[in-house]
Amino acid sequence: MDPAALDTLLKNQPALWRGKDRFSVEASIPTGFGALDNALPAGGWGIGGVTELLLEQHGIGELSLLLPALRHVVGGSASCTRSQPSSDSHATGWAALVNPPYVPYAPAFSNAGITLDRLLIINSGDDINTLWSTEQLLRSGLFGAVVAWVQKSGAQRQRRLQLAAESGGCWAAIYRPLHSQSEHSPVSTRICVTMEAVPTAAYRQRLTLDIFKVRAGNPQIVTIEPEEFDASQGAEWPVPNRLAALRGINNSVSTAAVSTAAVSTGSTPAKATPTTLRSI
Amino acid sequence: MLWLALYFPQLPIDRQLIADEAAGSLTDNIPTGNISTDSNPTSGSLAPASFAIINGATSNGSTGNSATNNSKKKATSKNTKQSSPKGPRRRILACNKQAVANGIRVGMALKSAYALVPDLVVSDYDEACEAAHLEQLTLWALQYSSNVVPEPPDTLLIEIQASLKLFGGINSLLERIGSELRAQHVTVVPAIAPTPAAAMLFTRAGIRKQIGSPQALKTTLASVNVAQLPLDEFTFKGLRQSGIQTLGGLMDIPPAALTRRFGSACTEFLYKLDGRLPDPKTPYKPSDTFLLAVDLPLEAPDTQALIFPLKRLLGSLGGFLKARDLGIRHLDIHLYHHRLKRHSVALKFLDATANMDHLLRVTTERLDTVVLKAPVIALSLESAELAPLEREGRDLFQKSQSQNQSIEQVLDKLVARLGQEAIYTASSEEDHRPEKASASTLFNKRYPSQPWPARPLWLLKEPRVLNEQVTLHTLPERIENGWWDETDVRRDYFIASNTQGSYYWLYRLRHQPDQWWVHGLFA
Repeated sequence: MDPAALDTLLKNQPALWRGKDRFSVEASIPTGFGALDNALPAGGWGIGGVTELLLEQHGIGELSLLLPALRHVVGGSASCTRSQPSSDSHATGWAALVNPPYVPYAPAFSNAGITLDRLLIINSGDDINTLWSTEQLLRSGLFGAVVAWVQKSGAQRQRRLQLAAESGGCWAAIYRPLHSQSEHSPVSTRICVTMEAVPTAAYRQRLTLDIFKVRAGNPQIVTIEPEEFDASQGAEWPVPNRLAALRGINNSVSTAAVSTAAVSTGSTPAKATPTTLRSI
Repeated sequence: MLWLALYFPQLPIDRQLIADEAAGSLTDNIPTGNISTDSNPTSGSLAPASFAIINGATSNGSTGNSATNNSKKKATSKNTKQSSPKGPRRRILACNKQAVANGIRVGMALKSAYALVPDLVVSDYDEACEAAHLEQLTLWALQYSSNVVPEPPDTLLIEIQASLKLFGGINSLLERIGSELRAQHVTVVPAIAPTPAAAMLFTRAGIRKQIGSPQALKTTLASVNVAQLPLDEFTFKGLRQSGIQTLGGLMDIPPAALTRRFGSACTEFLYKLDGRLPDPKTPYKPSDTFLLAVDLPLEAPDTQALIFPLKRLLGSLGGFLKARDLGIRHLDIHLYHHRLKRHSVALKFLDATANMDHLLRVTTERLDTVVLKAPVIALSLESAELAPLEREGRDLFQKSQSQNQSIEQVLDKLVARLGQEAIYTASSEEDHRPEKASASTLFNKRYPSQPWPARPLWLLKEPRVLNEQVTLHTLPERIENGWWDETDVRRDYFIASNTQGSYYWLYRLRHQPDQWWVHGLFA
């Protein structure tokens, strides 16, 4: 039998409740990554849900993962690169970073095309205040996205956040340490974020997203390739060989000198690099 | 003109309720002591059964008066016909329902009252406190009319004709006033009449009628007993001798004869009653700034106990702001302790606000974080900064139903708990020094800056020394700037990754090329 016909047949049964239906029409924020959009049942980060992102360490591209979504929410222009600054930002909603582990650096965010005026940063301090602030923001109904960093939480608190996100029609992303994967958490989506180096491209990484829990969807693993992944935070990194070509410098020397220069706090290898670089 | 008179027969006792509430930490349904008539709308929902819980006493909150200052009170209190102006006898001026149930009556000597109820709680009548409470109520009433006249010691006159349309008719207005007074636990006797003198007379006489037409006024006035009139002893004597019982009888006397017998003051009063003579009243004018204090009859051990008196004060602030058509931007709450210096809590709002629900939410949130060094004995509210309200036109078709809060309200709540510094938006500055290129502001509208070279999303507050193996990926980006002030920057920046794949923003100082520092993370 044709699956579509079967689908309509089942839909016409009012007594039949299917788990997928509840979430299939849900609104979502596009993640900016095709593979991830396909893997999530809402077709993006689901509005009215909490997404937990579990990771071992910071600085592996975990925030870049959310930049397209944040840009979508605060309404910056994606084309804000060095060639054309965003002139008309059609701001739609608010976004907030609650308790970020480091200082969110304005130039990088503006490079990524995010309207800074619409991105609130809240240094809430401890976990209690972080969860409280996140809940307040979610409930207000004004925010499109709330990103929070939490060390310790519990099922009860995560449920509160999930309910707040549902009532406020907001999407929340909560960063938690990797070891909390074993804890129960009643949120709509849980993803383990790991990173692996790509052997072919020495300065790019591949992000692996293990979606191990998702409402109305199937757990699966999504990889985001370095080509899609905008680890350069909106601006082009001065790629060595290209830079060298531009400056008309001997290509092989500069590539070798720069990409293989191993630096350490020890004195011997570090000394080698500066001399090479200075000669360029 | 239509005047609503509010007579607060139990003002000294109602004031005491702050203490009862505070001690019991009960938020709702605190029984008020009440000796006014049973049909009183404010006393209907109160349950005397729970009353004894509060202080563990069978009767409670009865307010006696000291003989030293009761003569003043007696002159205005119609029921206390005490006849000992200079005697040392202490009498009961007002008492609560529980006390009445135990046989205590107003006017009873204190000794007799103690004989009936040995553990009667007595406190001295304080005229200043009562005046302060009346002023607080006057300020509160300003939200219903611009023409509010306090009639000391215990009556308010409010001109409501002009407010009827705004508040949706007389019944809904009365209901609203009644429920707010009930929330404040204030006993009230309302009366409505076309003239202020008649409204005053009815409310003091306990005639709770809504009299709108002159005809109804005339018939109601005619039935009032002359003993209720605020006349002098000489006139009363004359009336008794003439056998005049009701006001109707008095009004039948031709004016010339009336004046001859009782003097022109009596005639004028009668004419003002039915409106034949104008009776101008000077409306209460709020001062330029708001400062209202309340003494707590019992010490408040924690901030939770301050919420109820705060609600009363905030109600007055609401009336004040309405009358001045302003919003508050900076509110100071002063908490007074015994012997210690006062503790001040400052509440700053992003937008001037006159929304009392919002104010109360923010205030309670803020007070929750306050740790008291000592019990609070008094409390005051002071407006440090007032500002005109910004009104927004409402959409006829609300776009989003869930947006019932404004962003300022949400942020105010966060600021109240986390502090002003905790909330900001980043903005990029025209400075090439990495530390200065990002500033923390709140709603500082800027034009989009020029695009930057590759910059990390995370910046470390303090650069840290690199202590692991990394691989460099870029050529140096030299940043030399700031020689004109103390943060002189001469650095070469690189992008590098460690073995786990975290990407760093590294630099080394030009004059110290061996030392590598981590300044940011490419998250």
